[in-house]
Amino acid sequence: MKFATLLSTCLALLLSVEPCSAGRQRISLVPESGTYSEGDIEKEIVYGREMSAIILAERKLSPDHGRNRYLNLVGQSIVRHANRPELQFFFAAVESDFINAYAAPGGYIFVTTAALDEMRDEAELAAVLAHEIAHVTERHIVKALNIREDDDSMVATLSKVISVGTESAGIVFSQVILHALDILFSKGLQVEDEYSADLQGIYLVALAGYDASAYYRYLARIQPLVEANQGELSGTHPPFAERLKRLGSIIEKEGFSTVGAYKNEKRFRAHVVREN
Amino acid sequence: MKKRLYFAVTLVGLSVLSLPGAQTADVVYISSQQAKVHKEANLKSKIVAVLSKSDQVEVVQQQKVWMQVKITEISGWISRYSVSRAKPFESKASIFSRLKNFFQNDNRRVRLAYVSTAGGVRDLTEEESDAAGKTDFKSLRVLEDIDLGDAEIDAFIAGNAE
Repeated sequence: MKFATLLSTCLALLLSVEPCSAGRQRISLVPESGTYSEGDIEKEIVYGREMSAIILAERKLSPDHGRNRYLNLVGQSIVRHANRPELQFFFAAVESDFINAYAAPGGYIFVTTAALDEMRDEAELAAVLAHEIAHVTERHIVKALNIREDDDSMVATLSKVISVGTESAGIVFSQVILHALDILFSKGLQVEDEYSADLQGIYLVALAGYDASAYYRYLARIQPLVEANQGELSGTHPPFAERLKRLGSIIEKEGFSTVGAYKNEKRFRAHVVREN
Repeated sequence: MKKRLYFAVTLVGLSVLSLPGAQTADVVYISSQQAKVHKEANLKSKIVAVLSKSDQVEVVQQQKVWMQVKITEISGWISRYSVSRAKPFESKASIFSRLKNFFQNDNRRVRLAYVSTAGGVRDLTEEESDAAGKTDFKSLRVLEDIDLGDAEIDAFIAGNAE
């Protein structure tokens, strides 16, 4: 065998070797939490806060303080299992006829009154909040818009995304906010981000001890309502059929139907259900 | 020819040793408040340890959302959603509290610091922005004032009895 052939064979073998040998796999899926600077996180909060103030101008904060406090208790019980300990999460109900929930960067999470009306127990609420928490922990909007401490980088991203030809940080800030709201209300995140939030959400719910099949039940219930009305949820999320198929597969594979059986229907009814 | 063969084999060997994870341990930190370590990669299996935030663990392998880790003599599986690459920040409220102080006391200044001086609504205080109908910072502050202590959350979780 010629030396060149031998060397290229060896290199080909080398390239085919997994980075972690003997049963070890890549750990590229490890979340990046903590690799961001404090400045990045401050910026994430400032942007998320501005977005949230605009959301609340569009969809009014539910005046039921007791219910909002309850939403925060459920949300915080999930947050304890998530990997963004540096964030202060906030949860609230907003008045809207659309069945939906929104997550702004920095930990601001909103669920519409129409969505709450369709839930049957605390596990379903926990599941919806967990899906939104996952969007925050995975920094889906932060990554989509490259909201980092380095403004130049953000300008570069926006120039590609929305053709902003200026380097004015103020205008960029405004455009980022508008683009982020456009993602939340009409365009949606990348399909894979939604599937990722579905997956992480179901595990967070299970880790918190809730009935992990709750999200499946909730989505199956709202599917005909959302599809019939073509509300914002259908325009911003992948098809229900595919989401339910994937969730069902995880539930069956992990045996989630037998783990963590808390549904807490009574407590949910006491705090959330509005008597007409 | 023999020399060349040795050279090629040595080259491959050195390169394999330099690959990520082959020589140095993969280390991650617990970044959730607690992380239960299971004997096997599923929630039904026995819990062999409970780790706390900032604990350092060595990664042995990963199977989808499960990560096999080693802590001294203990080995088990944790959810990958409970870990991060870098050590988590110590206080969850520190960053927000610092910002909140600015938001409450001089939000025009903090906005200028973050937003530069482009003019328009961005130079308004939160109250002025609310008055223009573009935002509702007043309601946002009501939400941000919901301050749950650990004891209240603990009691709530303990009430998971149904």
